Amino acid sequence: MAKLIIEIIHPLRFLREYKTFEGPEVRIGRGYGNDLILGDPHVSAEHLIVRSGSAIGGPGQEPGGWLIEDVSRENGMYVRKFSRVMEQARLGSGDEIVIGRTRLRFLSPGHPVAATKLLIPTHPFFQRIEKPINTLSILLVCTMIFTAHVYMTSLEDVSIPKLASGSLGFLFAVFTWAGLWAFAGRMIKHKPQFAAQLSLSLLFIVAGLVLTNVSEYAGYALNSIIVEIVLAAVFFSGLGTAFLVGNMTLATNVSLRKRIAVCSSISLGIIAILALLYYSFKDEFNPNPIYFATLKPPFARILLPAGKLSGNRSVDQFLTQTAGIFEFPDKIKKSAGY
Amino acid sequence: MKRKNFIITKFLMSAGVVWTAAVLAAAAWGQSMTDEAQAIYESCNPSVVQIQVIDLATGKKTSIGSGFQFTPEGHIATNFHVVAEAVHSPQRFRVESVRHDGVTDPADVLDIDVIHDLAVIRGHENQAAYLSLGHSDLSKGTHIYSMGNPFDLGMSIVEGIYNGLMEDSLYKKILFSGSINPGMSGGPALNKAREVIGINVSTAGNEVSFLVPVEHLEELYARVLAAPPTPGPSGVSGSQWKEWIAGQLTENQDQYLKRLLDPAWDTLEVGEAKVPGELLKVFKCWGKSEDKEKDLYNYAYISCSTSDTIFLSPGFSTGNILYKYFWLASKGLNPIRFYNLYENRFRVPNPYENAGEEDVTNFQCDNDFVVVGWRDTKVIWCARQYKKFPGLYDINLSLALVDRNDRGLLAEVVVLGINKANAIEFARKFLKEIQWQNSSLK
Repeated sequence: MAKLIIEIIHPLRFLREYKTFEGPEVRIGRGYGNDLILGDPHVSAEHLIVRSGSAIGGPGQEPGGWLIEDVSRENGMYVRKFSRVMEQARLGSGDEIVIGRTRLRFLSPGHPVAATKLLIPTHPFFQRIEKPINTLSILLVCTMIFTAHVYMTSLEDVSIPKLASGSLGFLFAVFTWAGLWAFAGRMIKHKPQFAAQLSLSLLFIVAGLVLTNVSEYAGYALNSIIVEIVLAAVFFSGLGTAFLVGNMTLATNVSLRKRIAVCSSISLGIIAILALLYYSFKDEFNPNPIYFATLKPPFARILLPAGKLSGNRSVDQFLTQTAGIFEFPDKIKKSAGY
Repeated sequence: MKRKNFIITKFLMSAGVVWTAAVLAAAAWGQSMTDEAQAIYESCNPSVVQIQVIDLATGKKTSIGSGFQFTPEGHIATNFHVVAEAVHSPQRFRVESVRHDGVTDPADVLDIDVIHDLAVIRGHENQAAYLSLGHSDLSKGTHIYSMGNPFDLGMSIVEGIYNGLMEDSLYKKILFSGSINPGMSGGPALNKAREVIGINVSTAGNEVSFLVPVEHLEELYARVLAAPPTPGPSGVSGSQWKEWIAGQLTENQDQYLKRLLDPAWDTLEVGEAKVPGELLKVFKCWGKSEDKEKDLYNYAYISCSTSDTIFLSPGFSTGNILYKYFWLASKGLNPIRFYNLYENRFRVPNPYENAGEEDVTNFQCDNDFVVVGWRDTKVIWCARQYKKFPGLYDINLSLALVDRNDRGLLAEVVVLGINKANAIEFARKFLKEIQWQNSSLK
């Protein structure tokens, strides 16, 4: 008989084992005299005998395949192909039977297999940012941007060392983050790719700074805190997702769909938590007014057609339009514990 | 007399007889002061009482003050702030007066004047002794005597000097150079003729104390006789008092704002701006400017306010108006850096400490770009409602000039206890009064 390969599938479908057999027949059962010994208590001591199909079949019968016979007559043999319990069956490569609670699949050496699932190749973008010269340039440029940011937001005259130490905070965060992902990559893919992780994190922080400014300026120019918050939330979730997907791509072999699902739920989850916090604390008593105090230089309002969308009201228009601040919900009057 | 004593003291001290000197000096000093005070104390003491507010749950006093009987019918005058808790929550607190002989007598609040911090109460048992009311227009420098029970230590008399009515105060008070301490609130201030000329009300420490002129008590008493808000001896309910207080506050701010809005306003200059200055004599402005070498900007700061606070309950007061200006000019900062600095200044509002969560709602705000004068500003406009007096609000108007890269004006207006119509009119006038000119600072 040609080579027979039996795939043993555990009743709970998690354990898989392959056994290869050669010879005229293969005996299967719980007894120790069998060729394939199964531990399943529902399997008989001598349960099955498998014979080569071609050895039995006369002329005119299709060659190959196996003839399987239930010799125990106890718990029977369920043949999946025919969806019934049978005493004897002729099976081809890939067919399955169930004896007791064990599932067996019969395969010939020539049985076709699925195409190889390839590991995710490194995207050209990562290859590029991984090159030492590029990583170094990104590091340099980003450090300059961090320094500029520290300079722009400082309220006093700052010396160069002070500026540098300010930007070190950003760098420390970036290095820590990249280091953690490199460690994950080392464990999962056996490839840390620290340089790529570092470049990615630097680019993320810089993009974050830029987009924060964009949302602030847009909110100011349109005079709407809603615009500022919505833009910030959209930018954060978009950028956060993209960035985490990049980190995961470098460090793991998870499929793209799963990566996007995981990363977007993380960033949306953070936004959801922030929104929840806002709503749970928004009615807390605050003795001082909280107002939209963003102020930007005059050019911020030239960038957008501010005159049409908001503002440039006269004093009278403004006071008419804002009379709503004196309208308080009625429940306050009723709940006054006087 | 005083001077002579001082000289004697000095002489003896230099002789080295320190202990004797101290005793002699004290004796001599005391002699000159007490003759008058002693006589006044003896004749007036039976009319002066301690006022206690009793917490019904514990039966113990939660606050104390002083008071005095001023009619033969047993009307007792005290401060509103002494009996405020009993007015707000009559179901939880009760007022009692304790006479000089230790007799305790429950009392009903008959009427109150929250603006001038006065209350008229009446005990259940009548007593004969009472003080007659005089006039508060004495000449500066007159000796007057204040009585009361400081810190629950026992009835005391304090001699001090009458220093006239406070000229720049909305609700005229007598400036009394003598020590009034907690517990003396509501006690009488008497002239040598044993007539009440004022009622102890507050102190600024260091012998700077204030008295409510007795004329306000007369007005309140006239109201008690004419239209008492008390239907019976059981007193009025908390909600009726609430309406009564709301009416007084509303009427008061109407009059105040009318006085404020009618005349042309004084202006002052800050940076490139001409802004409202001391609107009435009751406003006091303070200024400060700085141009430090190491700073990247210079500034001029002006803050104006009144000192007329109306007490409503512990932790809740109203009636003040405050406005301040901040002119900021950069010394070579780029626009982004300058605006970071500018925004930081704009972000922090004037701290509100006049009310708590039971008294007011949270602020509601709106904002827009508004052309003030001819220049672009960002204006923020906020209000919060008084929970117990829904027609009244605390408001905040904040403005930032936003048309220059390197300089700007921040202005903030705070008005406590104002109704909607007056608030809007005040804001309108305030914003329209702001004008611009060429800078003197930059």
